[in-house]
Amino acid sequence: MAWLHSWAGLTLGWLMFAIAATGTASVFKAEIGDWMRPELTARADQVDAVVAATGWLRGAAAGSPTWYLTAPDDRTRATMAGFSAKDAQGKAVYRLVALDPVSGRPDGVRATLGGEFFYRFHFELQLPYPWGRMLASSAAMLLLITLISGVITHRRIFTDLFTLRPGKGKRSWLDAHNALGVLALPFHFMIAFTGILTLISLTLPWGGIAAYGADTARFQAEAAPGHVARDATGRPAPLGDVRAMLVDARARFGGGRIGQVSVDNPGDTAAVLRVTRHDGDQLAYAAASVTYDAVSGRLLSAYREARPAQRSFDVLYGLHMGRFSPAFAHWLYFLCGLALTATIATGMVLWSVSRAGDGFGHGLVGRMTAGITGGLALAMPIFFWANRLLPADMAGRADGEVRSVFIAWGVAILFALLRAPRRGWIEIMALAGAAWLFLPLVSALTTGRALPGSLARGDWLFAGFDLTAIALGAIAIAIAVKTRRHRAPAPRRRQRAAA
Amino acid sequence: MIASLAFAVAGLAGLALSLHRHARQAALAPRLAAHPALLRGAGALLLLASLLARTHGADWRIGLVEWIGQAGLCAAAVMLLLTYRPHWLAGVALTALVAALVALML
Repeated sequence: MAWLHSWAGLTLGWLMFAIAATGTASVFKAEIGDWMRPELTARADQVDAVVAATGWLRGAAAGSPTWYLTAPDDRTRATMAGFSAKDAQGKAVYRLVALDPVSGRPDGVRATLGGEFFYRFHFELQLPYPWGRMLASSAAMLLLITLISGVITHRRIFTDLFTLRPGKGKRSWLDAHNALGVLALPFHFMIAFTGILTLISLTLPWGGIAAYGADTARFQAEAAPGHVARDATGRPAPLGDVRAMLVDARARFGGGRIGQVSVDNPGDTAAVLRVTRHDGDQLAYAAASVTYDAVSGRLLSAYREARPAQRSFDVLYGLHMGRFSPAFAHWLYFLCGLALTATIATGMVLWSVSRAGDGFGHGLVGRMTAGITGGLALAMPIFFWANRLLPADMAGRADGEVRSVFIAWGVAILFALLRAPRRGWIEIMALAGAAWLFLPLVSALTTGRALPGSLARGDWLFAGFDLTAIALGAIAIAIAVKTRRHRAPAPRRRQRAAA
Repeated sequence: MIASLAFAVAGLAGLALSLHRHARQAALAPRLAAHPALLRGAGALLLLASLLARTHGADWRIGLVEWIGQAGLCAAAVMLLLTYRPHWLAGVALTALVAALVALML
């Protein structure tokens, strides 16, 4: 069983690491988005913000078949608007824009993907549909196998629960790997399993095909009975009173918050406005939605999912998204996500350390591990550095930020390939630590909002971000220092029994 | 919430100290160390108290999710204490228990 754990862990271990790391960052994607748009300081009520946004979209996104809006809430000030537009070559591209909640316009706010970059990477891996999602799903499935085999392999799992022996090289890596794995084990199982579930319609579609054949329309209709689908008629008609519809929807949610608003066929007589309840109000994902005729404001459907099977799926989906309300839960998800990321990393490092000097293949794996894990630890703060340093009005700036991530990661991997694994690991970790530690300084110099000021003003977004960056930097430096200090004992030569 | 966290720390410390290896590390009083079953039972009860403290109430569902996460966090705290300051563990466990009871009263 130990070989299953090793093989399942190693085959896609680097990918699992990247998915876990970016997923952990996605826990705070709303706050990260706000931090990356420091110009956006206004706050507005959800209904006002969405109304303002639709006003702008009427002009800027008139030709888009659908508008997707995410209303601001206690975690984020911006209204996120998604729509399809024609690019310079006339090709349809999906655009995601952050809108000021008061004016409904994107002017003055720097173009950036914000936290959405980590979120998208986490399940799409910058690869075209559907390959990224399939690969991510495969990694999640292997992760589940690795977790189960890991528990079975760890025979003394309860007696070893609190054991940590630092400063002993390989044994310490093993203790760390076990501790990080076991202490947050319920989370690891949950996140791996629910992660697989989120992509299940892509990876295991045969249940649906068996039941519905090629009749996808009926499948969609039965899966989401509250959904109203209408084809565009081609006859233009102005959008009705959006405010009235939103206020009515909020009342129907019984004090709940608005999560997403979508408008199908805007500007057409067959326009449909759908309001989905905020994910933070309950465990289940997309639990309730209200749909209106967007021209007349007439209620078309108000749906609350009550079917046991579908609701169970929604709860499991919601558990993976982790958007439920209390901030404490978000920090728990963040810490457990860090633990999972570290479990994967220590597992791979442990494998390499156990086989140090064993030949070209093992040396290559050790170097790649140092490059990929340390490299991502370095590339993530570089994303934030780029956000602060690239000029706010630069064209293609959002792409520039993303490119800096992959350039930094690539350079780190190349660097690691040229150094001995242990030295490469120490150096890249030290560099990553420095990148995190200096990030608050770079941010303060470019935005004028420094940590002492943020703490004094109670600006918990900036203060929290700066403090977390400092903590992560300190951890990376500590790892580098500890690894450097430990001198591996001379390998014991296997002694032949005295003849 | 404080009661739940404190109960968890006390309970997990009790479970840890019921193991001979850790009782020795923490220099636990021999009279207590001689009854591992007692320590284990007390630890489990306190852990249950921690769960109840978090899930009694309208939003027990989210409380349950949070408890599972925080149990790992408290276990990590106990583990770090055992590694770096083992002699503090018994004291910390007792303080946590008192703090939990006080938090319940308030």
